Amino acid sequence: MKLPLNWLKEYVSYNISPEEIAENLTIIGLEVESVSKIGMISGVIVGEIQKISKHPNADTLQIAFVFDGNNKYKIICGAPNIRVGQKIFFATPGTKLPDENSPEKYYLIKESKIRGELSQGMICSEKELGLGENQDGIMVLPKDFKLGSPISKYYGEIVMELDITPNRVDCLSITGIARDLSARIDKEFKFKYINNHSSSKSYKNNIQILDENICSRYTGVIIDNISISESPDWLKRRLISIGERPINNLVDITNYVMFEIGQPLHAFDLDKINEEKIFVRNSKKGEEIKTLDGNKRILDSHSIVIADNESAIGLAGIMGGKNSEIDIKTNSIFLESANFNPSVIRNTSKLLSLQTEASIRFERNLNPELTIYGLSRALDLILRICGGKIRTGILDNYNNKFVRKIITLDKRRLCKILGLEIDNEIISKTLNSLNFSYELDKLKDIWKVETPFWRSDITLPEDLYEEIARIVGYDSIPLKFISGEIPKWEPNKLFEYKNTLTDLLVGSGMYETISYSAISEEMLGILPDYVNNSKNISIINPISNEHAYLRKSLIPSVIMTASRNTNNWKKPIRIFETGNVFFQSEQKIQEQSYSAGLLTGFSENSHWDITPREVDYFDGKGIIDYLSSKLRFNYALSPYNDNIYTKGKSVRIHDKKNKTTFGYLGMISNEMIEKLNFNTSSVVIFELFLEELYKSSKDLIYKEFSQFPLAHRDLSLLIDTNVNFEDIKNIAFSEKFVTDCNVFDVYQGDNLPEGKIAIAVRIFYQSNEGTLSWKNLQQIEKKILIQFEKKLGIKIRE
Amino acid sequence: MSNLNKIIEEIEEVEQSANGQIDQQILNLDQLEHWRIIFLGRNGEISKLMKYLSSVSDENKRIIGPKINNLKKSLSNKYNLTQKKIDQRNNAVTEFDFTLPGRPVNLGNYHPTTLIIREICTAFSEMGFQIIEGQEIETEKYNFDLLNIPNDHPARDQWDTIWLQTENTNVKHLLRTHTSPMQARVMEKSNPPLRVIIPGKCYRYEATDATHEWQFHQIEGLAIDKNISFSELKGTLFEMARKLFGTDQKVRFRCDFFPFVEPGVDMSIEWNGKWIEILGAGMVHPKVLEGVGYNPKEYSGFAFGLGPERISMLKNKIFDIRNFHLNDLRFLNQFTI
Repeated sequence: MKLPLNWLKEYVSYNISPEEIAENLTIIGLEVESVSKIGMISGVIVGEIQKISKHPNADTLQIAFVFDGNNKYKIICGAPNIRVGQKIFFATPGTKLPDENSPEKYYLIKESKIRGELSQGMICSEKELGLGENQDGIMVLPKDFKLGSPISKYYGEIVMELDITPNRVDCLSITGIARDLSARIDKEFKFKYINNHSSSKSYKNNIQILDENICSRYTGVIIDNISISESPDWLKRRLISIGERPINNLVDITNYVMFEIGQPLHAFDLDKINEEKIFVRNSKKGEEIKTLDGNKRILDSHSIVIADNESAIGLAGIMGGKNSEIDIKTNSIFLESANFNPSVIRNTSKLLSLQTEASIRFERNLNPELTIYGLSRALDLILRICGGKIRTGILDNYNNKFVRKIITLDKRRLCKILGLEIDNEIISKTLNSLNFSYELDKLKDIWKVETPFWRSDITLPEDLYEEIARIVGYDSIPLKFISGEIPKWEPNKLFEYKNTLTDLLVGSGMYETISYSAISEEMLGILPDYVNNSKNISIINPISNEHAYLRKSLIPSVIMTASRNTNNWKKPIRIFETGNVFFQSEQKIQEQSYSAGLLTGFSENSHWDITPREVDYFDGKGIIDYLSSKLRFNYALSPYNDNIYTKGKSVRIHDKKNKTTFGYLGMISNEMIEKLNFNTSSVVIFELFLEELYKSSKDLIYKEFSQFPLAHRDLSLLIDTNVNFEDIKNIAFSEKFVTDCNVFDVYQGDNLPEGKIAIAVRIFYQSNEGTLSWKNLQQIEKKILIQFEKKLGIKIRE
Repeated sequence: MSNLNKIIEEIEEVEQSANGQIDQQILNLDQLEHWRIIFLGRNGEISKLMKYLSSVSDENKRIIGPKINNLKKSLSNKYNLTQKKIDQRNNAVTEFDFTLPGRPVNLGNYHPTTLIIREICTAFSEMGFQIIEGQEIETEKYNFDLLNIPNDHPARDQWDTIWLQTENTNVKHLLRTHTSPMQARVMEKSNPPLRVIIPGKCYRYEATDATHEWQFHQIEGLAIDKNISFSELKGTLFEMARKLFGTDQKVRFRCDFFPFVEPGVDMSIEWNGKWIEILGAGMVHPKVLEGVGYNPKEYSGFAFGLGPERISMLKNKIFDIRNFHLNDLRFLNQFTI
């Protein structure tokens, strides 16, 4: 909503600066988003075109000789509408004319030669002056404008742009804003709703509401013998200042009243209405109407139209019909001031993508009480400006009368909720200043407040608390800490677990990423198989095809992130993301926390003492091992096949009993790496299911450490290629006193028998009760070796 | 017995002799090498001592074994140290370049959104707010209806919605447009007094540009008790601003409208001479309390919501919100906290 300050001044006489007005309005909830000056370009003055001659070197240009009362200027002009005798605004040399497209830029007007002829300025169009959209020709001024006067004398205006919240339809009007401001700055509000026209029932049958649900009040009047012409200058200036284009006196008046008091009005050319009959009815499915903007609209059955006997003549509450448009020949009009069902107007406006100043107001629930005041105000102006005569009187079709609400305002509760002690006088004064009427029970400190009709947003005592608080000022309420009982505290363990996981992964040298939760159809193709037995959730209205499906796995996200980065990031890429995934299974919507990681490129930055190598499976496994020890979960691995992974280099991570899957780890297949435009050749990914992992992570329990020496013995073993180290380790651990088992060498080569690998393992032994003797160690080792041979066919390497 | 004592004596002799020599007589590397051969060499004194191990009982082995091992370790250390000492003495001016890069430790970074969420949550946590999370797929009931945002009302325009196609067609599912649905969910689940803070992702059907994203985070707060006042809402939010932006941070509270609070308020901070709105808040609307079965005559409370990315943008001078989801490592590598 635009607020021109000169217009505001008609209803509240303030003596504070525009900055202070903006601050006060913002504080009370009418946020001023920007303040701009219009019609204040210095150097632009009124001139008169005294002579026009052709430009000798250009067909489309003319030379205008302009007089400003003192000096003469020769100005080259391309506008088709210049005539001798016109008064115009022109920019004298030195003027900085703002660029309409970017307000901080400007054009400097200079004396210069245009096609060989000197030009000493520029005659301006509305658009060039920032006064309107018209750029078809120069702006022609009224005859009484004084030569040499600066533009600011006539059009200088400070205009604020306000963001009016949807609850305050009353402030989609200058008077509404003025009322709030006057309450805030404690100045008189100089406006009253007036209706001084008589009513009539003589047209009752001609004007009918066919469905009361769509129109709670329809007020109108017929005026004959009016003359349509240009608006008087003051009216045009008002409309220009609020950003509206003047059209003709009648239409301008209806617009003016809408901005002044908030009631949209519409004038029909009565002679174009069949049998002078007007109906407010539901639209019919497929019904067509050409609206004033020239577009043909096809309606369904859920809109409201104004219609005559034959067809729709207006799209109610949104835009008039072309077939009943006011034109220069209009003689009799029907002027409508109505109240339409807000949700119907809203739905039609959305359906047709047609939002107008009228529809914005109706969908915010205007009060039906307002129609008569809007009509009366417009009528006064029409009779004064357009002439004409009221045919009989105002016809008012008003069925369900609005009943004012009485709200009980209890001072004790008001003060308790606000945390502020307020005097009775201030409460009463604030209510008065906003035109709320009340009865005060002085013994109980209770106000019975009657809300004014334009504030249908006020329905509860809490609404009144806000009214009082915002006018008194939120800044006068003290700052306090929360008092009262200590609230319950149930630590959110899973949340903390996720935080710890993030800490660990960051600590291990990975970068945390956050991607979009929705992916493209193409990216569904890089979902790992393990999520593909559940159904996708698609988005009905995606922002773009890039984000059409909710992700079931974070793998596509980390892959795409990494692939994009491989071109610009020449260091190792180590990333992870923790987030929710979404899918449907058995008709139920599932939302779960996953964490995915990816390593690609080299293991280290290049360094003088380290030879970098490409990352591989064991870099990924290292992270899983690290997490397993830090988060205290035990896991085992099983082979896993999936076409996004390299065969044989991908595994499922699960608990020891193989009942719960914790996640997956593997190397991306070479085909995928190529397809996904990785600028690297080795990619390791993993994904963990955090709910499962969390449930399997054990609490930290301290165990007394042994005071006795830790012994170790090394074994060189010859094993079959299909034997896993994990099996060797499990056998070792099945013996008492074994505390650890490591591999320190793996060898596969010529001097070994076919299908065999040599591995060197170191087993650690320790007892809590005493030092283990050589004999003890030998005995334990012997047992282990027997089990090795029996279960895994492992022999000592000679 | 006498055998054992003899061996121990011998170990001690070797120890004394080796230490004596290396401390007083060794001046250069040749002498040191000679010492090494005598004591640590293949046929040196230590090796000779080791041989006794095979000739003594297990019991004695347990006594002398560790002694010999300790001696061996101690002499090896002594050897290394002496070698370094001689090296240093020989090279008075060292050729060691102490500016060469150290062996790298891989650097990981938190996403800036995580950093700011943690910072904000910690500020509230210190004021007794418990951190919880909520679901991102919501229903109209929780996202709108229970928050007093009626259908067919322009107030809904503030939350342009992304709708989901699901198998269950009885309920319309959507991606939550704000974290506020969690207000109703928390209140339904627990009884007052409540003090919770809920960080999480939100989604809106909105075109993206430098200051708008269709996916972003919010942090929701809710406090309910018998006597919670607007004054405490102001105090709590002011304290958060102070912790985030410093003790001298100026804040401004102004009236604003959100259907689920009354009175409504937003808080701005003074930033480079301008007021920048950083959060919306208010006293929980009586209809919201009623909707979850709380008696608005008995309980009151406040709720607030803020956008962590926007706060991070202010604090870190990030001018394009889209950076938060591009995951460009050249962006992420700067948040080295």
